[in-house]
Amino acid sequence: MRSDGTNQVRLTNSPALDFEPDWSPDGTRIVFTTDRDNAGYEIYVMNADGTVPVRVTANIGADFQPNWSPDGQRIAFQSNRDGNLEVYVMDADGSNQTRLTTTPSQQALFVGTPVWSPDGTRIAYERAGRISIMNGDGTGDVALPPVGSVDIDPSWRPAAP
Amino acid sequence: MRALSCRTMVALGGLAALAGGCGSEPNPDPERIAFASQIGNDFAIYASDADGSNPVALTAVGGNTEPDWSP
Repeated sequence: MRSDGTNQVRLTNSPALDFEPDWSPDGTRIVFTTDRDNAGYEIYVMNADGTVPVRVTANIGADFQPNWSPDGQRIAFQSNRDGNLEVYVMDADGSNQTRLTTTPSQQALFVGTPVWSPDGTRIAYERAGRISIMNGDGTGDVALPPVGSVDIDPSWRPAAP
Repeated sequence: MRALSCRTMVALGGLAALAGGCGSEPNPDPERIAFASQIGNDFAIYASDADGSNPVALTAVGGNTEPDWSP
């Protein structure tokens, strides 16, 4: 839709739940989460007009919360494919899926909502009610000092033009 | 005594520079992160520098989550 709410257009027509859309930085594509395959949550990429939806994740676990990197080349997301929630990255076509965080499987912590820094070098995410920041390859993970009893939903301020 | 510039103090020695507060000038455009913080039983929106410093409450407490910035 337009920013004033007019011209709302439906882009997906599956009977399933399609949610968590995120535009590619160049505005040509949209990544989203869906349960249309009855395979748990999976991530799809489609053109911005809704055409050519392509499934880019396929496994028994849930893959969700996709976030496009500023250069449009990669997508960060969260998945429990290895038994508990972790942050992953992949190329925008679904190749090179890589786990970035390692949480002991016996810890049923919430680890997710990854968001790229404006310069594309780091990822902020939520780990067990705290905001953490790591490099794009998973190294250098640092938890920010607590503000509330729980801190969630990180969002980077865009870089100044 | 005329105040020395940070560059001069760094040239004279690291300790003098640190004692003079060099390197602690506020970055005019730090990276900032907004987030939702639970205060009591509900959430408010905060923003801090990307290292966690300078947290500021942007909203009152009351069902405020999932912040996003204008471009």
